Amino acid sequence: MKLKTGIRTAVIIGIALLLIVLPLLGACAKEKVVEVPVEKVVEKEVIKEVPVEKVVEKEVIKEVPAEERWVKMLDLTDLTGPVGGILTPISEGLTAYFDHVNNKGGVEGVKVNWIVVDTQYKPAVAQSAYERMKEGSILALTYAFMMDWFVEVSKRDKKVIFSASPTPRSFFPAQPYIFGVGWMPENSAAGIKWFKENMFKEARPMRVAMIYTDAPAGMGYILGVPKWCTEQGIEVVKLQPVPLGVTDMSAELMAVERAKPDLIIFSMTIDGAIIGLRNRYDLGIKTPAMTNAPGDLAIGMKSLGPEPVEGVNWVCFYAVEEMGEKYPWVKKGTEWWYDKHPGIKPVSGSFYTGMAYAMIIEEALQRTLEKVSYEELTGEALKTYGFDTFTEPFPTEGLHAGFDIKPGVDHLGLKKAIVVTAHEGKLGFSDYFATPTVRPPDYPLSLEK
Amino acid sequence: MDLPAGTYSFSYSRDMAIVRTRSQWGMAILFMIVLLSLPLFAGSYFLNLIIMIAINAVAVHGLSLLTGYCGQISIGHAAFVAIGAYTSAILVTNLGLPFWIALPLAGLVTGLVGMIFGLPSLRVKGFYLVMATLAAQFIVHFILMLDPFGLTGGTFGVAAPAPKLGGIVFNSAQSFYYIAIGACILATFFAKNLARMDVGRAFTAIRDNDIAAEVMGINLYRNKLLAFFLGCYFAGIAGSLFVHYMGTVSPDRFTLLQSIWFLGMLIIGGLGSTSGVIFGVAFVQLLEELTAILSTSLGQAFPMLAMQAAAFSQIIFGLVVVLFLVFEPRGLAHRWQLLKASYRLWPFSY
Repeated sequence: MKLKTGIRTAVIIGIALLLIVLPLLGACAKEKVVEVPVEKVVEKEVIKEVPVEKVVEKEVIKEVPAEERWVKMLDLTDLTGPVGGILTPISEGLTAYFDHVNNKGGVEGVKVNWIVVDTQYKPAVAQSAYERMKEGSILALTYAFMMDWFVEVSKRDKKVIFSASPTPRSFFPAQPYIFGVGWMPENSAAGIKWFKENMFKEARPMRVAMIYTDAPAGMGYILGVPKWCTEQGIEVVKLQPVPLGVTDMSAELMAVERAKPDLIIFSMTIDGAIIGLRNRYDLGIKTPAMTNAPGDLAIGMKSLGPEPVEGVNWVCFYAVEEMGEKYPWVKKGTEWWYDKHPGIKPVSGSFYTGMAYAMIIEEALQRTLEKVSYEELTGEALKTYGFDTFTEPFPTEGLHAGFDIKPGVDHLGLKKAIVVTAHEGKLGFSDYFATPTVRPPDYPLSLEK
Repeated sequence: MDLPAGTYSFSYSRDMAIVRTRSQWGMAILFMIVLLSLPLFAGSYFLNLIIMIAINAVAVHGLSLLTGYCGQISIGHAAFVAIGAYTSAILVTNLGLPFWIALPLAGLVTGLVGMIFGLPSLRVKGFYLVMATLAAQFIVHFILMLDPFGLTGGTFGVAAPAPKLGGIVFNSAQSFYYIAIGACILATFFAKNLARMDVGRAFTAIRDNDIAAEVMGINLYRNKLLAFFLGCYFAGIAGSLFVHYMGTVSPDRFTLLQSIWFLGMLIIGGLGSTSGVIFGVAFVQLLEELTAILSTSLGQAFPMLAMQAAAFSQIIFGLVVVLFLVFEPRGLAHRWQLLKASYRLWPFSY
């Protein structure tokens, strides 16, 4: 019954050796990455010049019947969790748009299998979902605060990561496989700039106060803005944090008001801003206000009534329902929304954002399929022939402000914004205008991996 | 009950041995070989899942010592994991220390911070201690968000590089797997032995009746603080592993909900059991994974209901946990014991 001491010692030494040797083997072993041979992604003209044997090899690639031509893309999003309210309509917009694309026959006959995965605001779930579903996919869209992880992984897997995360680390500098909208403070700066040029009439420097949620949803939209304001000769008189999930911000607003600002920026999601605007009205504060983060002033107006939001400005980067008369795609999106959510008014602005993202992805896919066949369609090809060719902010038919998808300079970010103003129970809006450039303050932007 | 019929231990050391029979040795060796050679044939998805189970198991081992053995309920364990994560990231990025030194230091710092928050345990217990550790959760979270010393990166958190050893960078699931599994094995080993040592017996005595324990000569002051130190040390190690695996960390990752789930893992696995920790963590992680798969599959099968499927899968998750606790309140470790006993007696069970 008792194991002999010698055998036991040998076993223990063996296990110890395994513990030492196997990690080294594992660390040295490269993960199996399905790499596309170079000849598969070169342009068709080049293929004509390659030796006969390569052409024969190319012919071996089995052509997929037209009805089976699907391309898999992942939407790793937080449908549940604290930001589910903002991200769910984005996914709905994406899904609705790709349904439309598929119904009209796909992109060059290739249909999009848009797979929505609920990542629950948990990085481990997002990570696991990506690893589970990456096989055969060419793109993953993500909002999660795990872009550092995706920077490395996207290079490893050679897949496009379309990011809507406001963390600046992955965009300063721009990364080879990361595309999308990521740097939101330029939106806030655009609002301040608009106010200064259109509403501020004094000869002295303008004074701005910012009241923000101390969480990514609020902080991420003003990072670097105070520094930018100072450079522009705009005085930042108060930076006032409020906790996430705040139910009353009267005290904070009074502190802000004591600083005598010309404009109060509410940097938070619309539920927080509604509380702030209600408190502002109750306290009788007349200082002009502006909100900047995802949400919808129409929802605020519906919640509070017209008086508390009278004159309030909202700088945003996606359409509002009222723009449907000017932009047909906004009108179409509005119809889709009400088809899906009968009786739920108004349209969530994030829905238009989702449509805009889908429109950009469709365009990238279109450009890629003009260069390579379906059989040669990979993440690498989508990057090279699709996203890398976006040299100008892509117009999204008024659904969303233009943003640099691949700037080639130093960062991704919004390039245009609009300002929506509430007046007598109705919303008026400016046209899209250019945003200034805002850089992050002293910040640990990148670290050696 | 613990050994097959006809198997006896003739000495105290034999009786206390974890692996006692030839077949147990055989299975242990086989298990170790499978475990250690897994990255050579498993994909990164599977390895990633095991890594997360291993990291969480290290954290829950700490909570098991503190709550399961010593009876000091902590509802701020995620905050202690956060301290370990931030300490390690800051030591590596700001001071340039190697991961291998930052790892134990993260545990040490977290252990010391844990002792501070454990001080109220000398005066209060039960729900009152829950409130004290709840305060720890909020204080730590607030400090990380506020970033008073310019170290924690505020809302956005900090990044941390992958561990290196010589020229090898552990930046893939294949390589990091060994670090996580190694740490989990060591944590399990230490947790198991700590629970069997005089320290563990003192913890159990305090848990069962602290006044009786004190009368027997157990120093409550010393042992309660030691429980907090050890529990938080494990949490710090888990935090360090987490941040260097994920590459980045922010305060949002260590919420009160996460702390509650750590307790949930412990209860599901079985309080006061080392193997229960592994079972509990694996159960919750796998259930989380299964509900994510279910949500995606439902969304694909019924595209019109994709968004509702996500909420539905959360309901399933909660329901499974509730049903499990109703039908197996003593945890998975107890179910495992029953299974083993039944196997040993088969086919003569009664």
